Amino acid sequence: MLKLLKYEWKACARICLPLYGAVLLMSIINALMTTDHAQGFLNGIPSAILAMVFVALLVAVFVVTAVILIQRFYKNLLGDEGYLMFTLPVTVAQHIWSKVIVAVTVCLLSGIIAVLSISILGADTNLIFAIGMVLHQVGTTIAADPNALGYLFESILLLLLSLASGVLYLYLCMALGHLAKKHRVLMSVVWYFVLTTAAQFLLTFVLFGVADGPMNTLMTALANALNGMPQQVLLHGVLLGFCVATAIPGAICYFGTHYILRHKLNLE
Amino acid sequence: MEQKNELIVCAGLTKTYGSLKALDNLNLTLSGGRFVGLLGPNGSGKTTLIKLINGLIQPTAGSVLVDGQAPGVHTHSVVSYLPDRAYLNDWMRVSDLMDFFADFYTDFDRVKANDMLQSLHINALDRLKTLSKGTKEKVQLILTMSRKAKLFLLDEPIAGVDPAARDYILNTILSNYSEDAAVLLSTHLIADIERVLDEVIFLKNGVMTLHESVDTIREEHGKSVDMLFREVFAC
Repeated sequence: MLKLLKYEWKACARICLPLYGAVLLMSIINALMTTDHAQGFLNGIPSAILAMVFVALLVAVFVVTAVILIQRFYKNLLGDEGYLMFTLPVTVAQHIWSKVIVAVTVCLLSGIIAVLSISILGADTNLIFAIGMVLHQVGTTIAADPNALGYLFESILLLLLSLASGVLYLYLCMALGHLAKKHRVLMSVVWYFVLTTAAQFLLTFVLFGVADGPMNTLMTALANALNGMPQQVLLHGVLLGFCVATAIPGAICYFGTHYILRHKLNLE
Repeated sequence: MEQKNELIVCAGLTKTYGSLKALDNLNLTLSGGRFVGLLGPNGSGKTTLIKLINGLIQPTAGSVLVDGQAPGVHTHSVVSYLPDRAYLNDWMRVSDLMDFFADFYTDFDRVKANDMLQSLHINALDRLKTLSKGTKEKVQLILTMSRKAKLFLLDEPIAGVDPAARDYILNTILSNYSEDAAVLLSTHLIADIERVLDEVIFLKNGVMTLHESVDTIREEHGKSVDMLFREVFAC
């Protein structure tokens, strides 16, 4: 498993890390260009070009992240490289988990890099001061109420779970598309739209469709039970509830993908 | 034939692609210590059979057992497989690939792999991308043959390689597999490999038409495998 992670990370890092480096470098250069003198140089053309390059790179980070998510699964497992991967003495579960873990990591890193590079762009003493204030605020809140630390962890958990579920959803679509005899890429896209529509329909139906249905009763019962609970418990409940609600579709996607790759694999 | 150590057991193995029967009700048992040629014209089901044994495709009907188990983690650890296509990451160096194989296969012998690379004048630091098609095939074959596997499945291992290297490769295959290991090699270049074969399997339109030892063929038919093949598959 660790070995799979190592190679998966290597494969992603060789594309991502240089791009991250370029974005950070451009944001630093742009930050240095904000002086009046630099802005006025050659009517501001160089600084405008640099700003455009920065924006382009920032967009590239997100595009590349999305492409890597899809390509690492499709090419590496369902393409010709699958001949190597699926003849390794490794279980299908290990394949999927190594891909999910690295994909979530790449998503997080891309997000962090985006925030960081924009912060650098706007960096001045005020910003650093503001960050310090926020950190200080977080510290005092946690010190005052240990629950705050819980909220923080629960939020991070929720973020990780949503990313993992999203990635697994894409994997399921590709695995389903691969069941087709031909036009497998196209079928993956079709599955994506079919499943998305179905999920939205289901959600709407469950939430609003049945006025007096079981969901409504459940909600009323839940509201009654929660009435009078302390605020802290409520907030924990909501955060953890969201975690579970995100994890369930993720788990369904995982088991669907696992079943297909284990029992229905048909490499071209 | 001896019953000990049955490496491959196919029972009623069938694979269809739409209306096309790529493999039709194949019953086959292979034991260790044999060098078996899987022979047949293009599209006769050779690759389909090998992919089924590897679990890369699933049978439409019937079953295949390798070393007593259905294709899975255990069978992958005892089977060394050379596919009929380039399946390695282009951006990796040859040495990266050796690390990869050494990491995942406990039976990978790096010293042996390095020896073979040197004999064929391949630089381990070259990226795969920069190598010619034939050289890539040599690298894949070296990686495959550097394992101490129980079963070697070689799908068209010599088709894209020049004749001089072909001889070297055949010799390395011969000298590398241990006494009780088996080699199943698919090809249509029969004349080149005839001298090393113990058994042959003829496949025609997904049906096994012959499974005999080479000695029997020579005695009974009084001709070489190559001649028999040309006769059986005459157009």
